[in-house]
Amino acid sequence: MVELEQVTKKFGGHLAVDQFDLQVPEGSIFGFIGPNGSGKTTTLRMILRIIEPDSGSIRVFGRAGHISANNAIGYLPEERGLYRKMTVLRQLVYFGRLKGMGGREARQAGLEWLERLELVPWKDKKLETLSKGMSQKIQFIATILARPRLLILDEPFSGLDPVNLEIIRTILLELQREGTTLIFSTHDMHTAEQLCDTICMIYKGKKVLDGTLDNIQATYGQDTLRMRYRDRTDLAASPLEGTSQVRNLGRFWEMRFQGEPHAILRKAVQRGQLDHFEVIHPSLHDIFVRIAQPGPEVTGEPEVEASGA
Amino acid sequence: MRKVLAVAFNEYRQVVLTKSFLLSLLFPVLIYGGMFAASIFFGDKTDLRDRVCVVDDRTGQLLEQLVEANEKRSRGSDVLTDGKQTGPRFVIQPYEGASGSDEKEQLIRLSDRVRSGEIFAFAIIGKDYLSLDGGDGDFIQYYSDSPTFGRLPDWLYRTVRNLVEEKRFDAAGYDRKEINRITSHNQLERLSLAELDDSGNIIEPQEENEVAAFLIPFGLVMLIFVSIQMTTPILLNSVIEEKMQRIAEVLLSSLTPFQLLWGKLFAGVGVGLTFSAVYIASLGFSLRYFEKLQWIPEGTFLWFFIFLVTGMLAFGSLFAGVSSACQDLRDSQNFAGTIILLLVAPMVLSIVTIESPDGPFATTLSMIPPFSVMAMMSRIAIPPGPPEWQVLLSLGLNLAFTALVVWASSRIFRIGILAQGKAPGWRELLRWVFRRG
Repeated sequence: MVELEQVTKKFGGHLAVDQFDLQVPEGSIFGFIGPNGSGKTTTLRMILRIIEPDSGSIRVFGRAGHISANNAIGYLPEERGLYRKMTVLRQLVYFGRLKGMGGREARQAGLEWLERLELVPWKDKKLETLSKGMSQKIQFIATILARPRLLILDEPFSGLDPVNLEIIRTILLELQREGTTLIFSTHDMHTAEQLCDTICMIYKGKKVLDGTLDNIQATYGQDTLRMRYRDRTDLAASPLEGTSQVRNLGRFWEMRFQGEPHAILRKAVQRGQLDHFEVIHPSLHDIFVRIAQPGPEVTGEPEVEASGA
Repeated sequence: MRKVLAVAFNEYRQVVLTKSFLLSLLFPVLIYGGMFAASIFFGDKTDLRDRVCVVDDRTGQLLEQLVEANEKRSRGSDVLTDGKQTGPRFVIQPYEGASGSDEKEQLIRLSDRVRSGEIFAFAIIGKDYLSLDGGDGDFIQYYSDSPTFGRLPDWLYRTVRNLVEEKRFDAAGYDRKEINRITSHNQLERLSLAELDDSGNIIEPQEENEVAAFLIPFGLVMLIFVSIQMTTPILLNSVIEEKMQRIAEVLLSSLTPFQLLWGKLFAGVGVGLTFSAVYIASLGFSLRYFEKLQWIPEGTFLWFFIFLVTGMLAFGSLFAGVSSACQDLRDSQNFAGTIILLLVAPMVLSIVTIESPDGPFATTLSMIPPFSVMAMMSRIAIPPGPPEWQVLLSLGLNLAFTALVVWASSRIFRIGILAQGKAPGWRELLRWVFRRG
């Protein structure tokens, strides 16, 4: 569906994307993660042909020469962009027409989506009179109005309350079932873990992770412990021997370990009233933090290249 | 093209359906429409009330003849048309008080009569008004509460002046009628040149109107100026809004920067044409109504729209290009000032080109874009107009200049529309024009 080969983009002296390869399978939900300034938006803009790469090739729908005006791509940017003084339905019709729809068709589709997202009473209101959450939903409708084959979503759930988040998530899964390929760019690792079939992480313009969540986690191995104490045992002040990077998650403690977990379990029991002890894979969040903020223990860690992408 | 038109239609609609734009369109309709309505509905409904004027003739020699002259006027075309009253009658009443006894009291008393509506005005003719040597009483004064009503004081002064001259000629032993006959002459008539039509017949020279000969070309130049001035800020505001509200990125995922720019340009041109068309139609309709269409040389309106479109495209794309590089309206003002200078200069210089439309200055200026848009327009609107080859050359140069500016602006636009941070200077913009990729 989307293939990037050795794509490089520079802005002045800054190397934004460096020889980047990417393959997004058709019909998948693809997570595209990375810290701020790592080159995510630049990559997405290149896929959309909003900007051109300096070198390398980009193929979308198997075609190298597609233009940004591709009607089959829907794009929801992180910073939402709608006309504040324009009424909701007119806005949807306009964006629909820009995706190649006829005026009547766009109006009909816009009304249907407004109905589904319970926004019909606001169809003739100017956008500036709507709440932020409503605007988010309008922008989402504008993105999917033309039923795109490829949806590129940059932080699609930010600013949404749990109810609306669930509605949007349901719609996205419906679209995927109908054959739409989804590329998510997000900082929300929990969402990425839950939704994405495949995940790619970009860091400083280079790919540092690519594969299914299981493959990525398998590559990192089971090097994490999760514990819960009934009392107020503090593991941060004096970490257990053989553990490092201890984090208090509230109800749980999480830490990396080296060596034999049974030996650590014995020591953990001696510290307090231990209720829970689990050897787990590192979470995606954990892996993200390890790559984006490498501590002394993990420096020099090899790049992970899991299969499945 | 469908997407370009979708942008154009959307932006055009956004502007044209605003109250301020509709009001700007209503202005000429109100002015010209008001004139027609006034002439049609009120033409035969002039205020026909009698205007009573008390005259204190302190010379004692003019009043009787003044009354006679007024009676003659009441039977003439100033008052009657085909036997029907179409103008107000004047009623000249002699002042019946003690003339010159207490002037202040006299003025107050007569003023009160005017204020009460009993009389319309009063006049005092000084006792020395007939004297050749002047004196304290060498005056004629007119008092009224209606300063805008000029017919009565004009008639009064003209009539009294004639009577005084007549009396002075008589006193000096001259025959007034003979002097009038000797000194009488017609006014100078200003006419256009004679021409032959296709059949070899002479086309009657047209009467020229000095005021119209200046106002029409200047008005057309002003209309070009205002149309471009109206259009360009619209482009500037819409580009800045799309950048500030982050709409540009959404738009560019659907169409290319070039398509977006052309959509905006079409909208801008559409707005400018709508605006100017209303004014031109109003002007054309008015001239036709008053049978003065000959004041405008043939083809002027067509050339007006052609040159206007080239001007709007050039200036519009320039505004869109530089505003795409700006983050907010304040940034854009630095650029806008320079561009507006390019627009104001030919408008000011048009006064020179109108005065001497076939002079070397006007001819040269009408060949240099972007000044040529207004300079050539002013020349075209003054009969007999420039040679056709000059108009075509000017248009060709304008089209080439417009194409160049649109190309350069689109190069700036494609980079600027996504650029963030500090606004670049002119030199940086020039680099964007030639940047690859």
